[in-house]
Amino acid sequence: MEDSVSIATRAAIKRAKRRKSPKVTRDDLLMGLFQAIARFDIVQIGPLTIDLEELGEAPGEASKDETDKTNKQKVAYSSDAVALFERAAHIARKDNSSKVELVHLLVAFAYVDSGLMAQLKEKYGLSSMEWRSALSKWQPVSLEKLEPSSKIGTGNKSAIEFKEKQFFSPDEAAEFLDVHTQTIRGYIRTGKLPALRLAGERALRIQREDLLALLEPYKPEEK
Amino acid sequence: MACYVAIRHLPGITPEVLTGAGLRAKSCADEMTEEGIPVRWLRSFFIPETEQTHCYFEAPSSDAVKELNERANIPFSEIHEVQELVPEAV
Repeated sequence: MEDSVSIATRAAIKRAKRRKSPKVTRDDLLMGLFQAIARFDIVQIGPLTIDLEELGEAPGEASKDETDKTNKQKVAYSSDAVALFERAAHIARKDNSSKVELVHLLVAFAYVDSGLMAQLKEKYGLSSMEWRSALSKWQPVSLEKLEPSSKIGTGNKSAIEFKEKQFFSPDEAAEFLDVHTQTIRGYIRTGKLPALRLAGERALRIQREDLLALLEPYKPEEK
Repeated sequence: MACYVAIRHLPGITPEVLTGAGLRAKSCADEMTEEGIPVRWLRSFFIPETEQTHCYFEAPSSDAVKELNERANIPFSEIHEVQELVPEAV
């Protein structure tokens, strides 16, 4: 399963491609973040309601282009976007988070005073403090809910579907344990996770028992 | 698929810069894979003493690794194909 930051960054790249720009800008990134958390094209952060439609991000147009896999235009992150990632990593560290979450990237925009963020600040009469304050209370909805229509890859299986399952493909196994497919493939490669090959085929299958055996009780470190 | 190392000399680099680069590399690798160039960031090692970072990728060619790093806007000085050796295999 793709995490929400991956969904947002991929949406940012797609937006740059749609604009036929060689650069993924800060605006692309902000819009990618919004697309990752929007429902019905509405972004709700605390008391703030941001309408993506009003910002000119027409949903129909977006989803059509985003499914266009033939777009091989090479786009690179701009220096502004690079600086924003670094600021988000700094914010995540101050927040005692081992990973950069979507909220850290959003908070990093508090200090941006140009482009789309400047428009938003003006339109909603937002100060940097109000933006950070809204985000400090923000609870993202669960991943199932924020699954945007543009999401790439396999659809999420419901818990019920998995309940009956005995054999999992690497993608399904990744979804089952809420890790990346590459993690599962890595475990298989190193022998940590036993896998079966369908006779004469390349496809791999993993048994439920073997997946569950990967989990062990967490023991807090003794100080 | 072949394995490559991108060597970077980044004096004064901070953990934030490394984290930001990692996030960008992941998204660009996913995008290139979708475009039909299957490239994957495997792992990176930072050597504080030499201020060098060695980043390992699985890719069809060194050009693919170069392109990934250009897209992610991460500077590099060299890219080489590497042979993987693991304790289990010797």
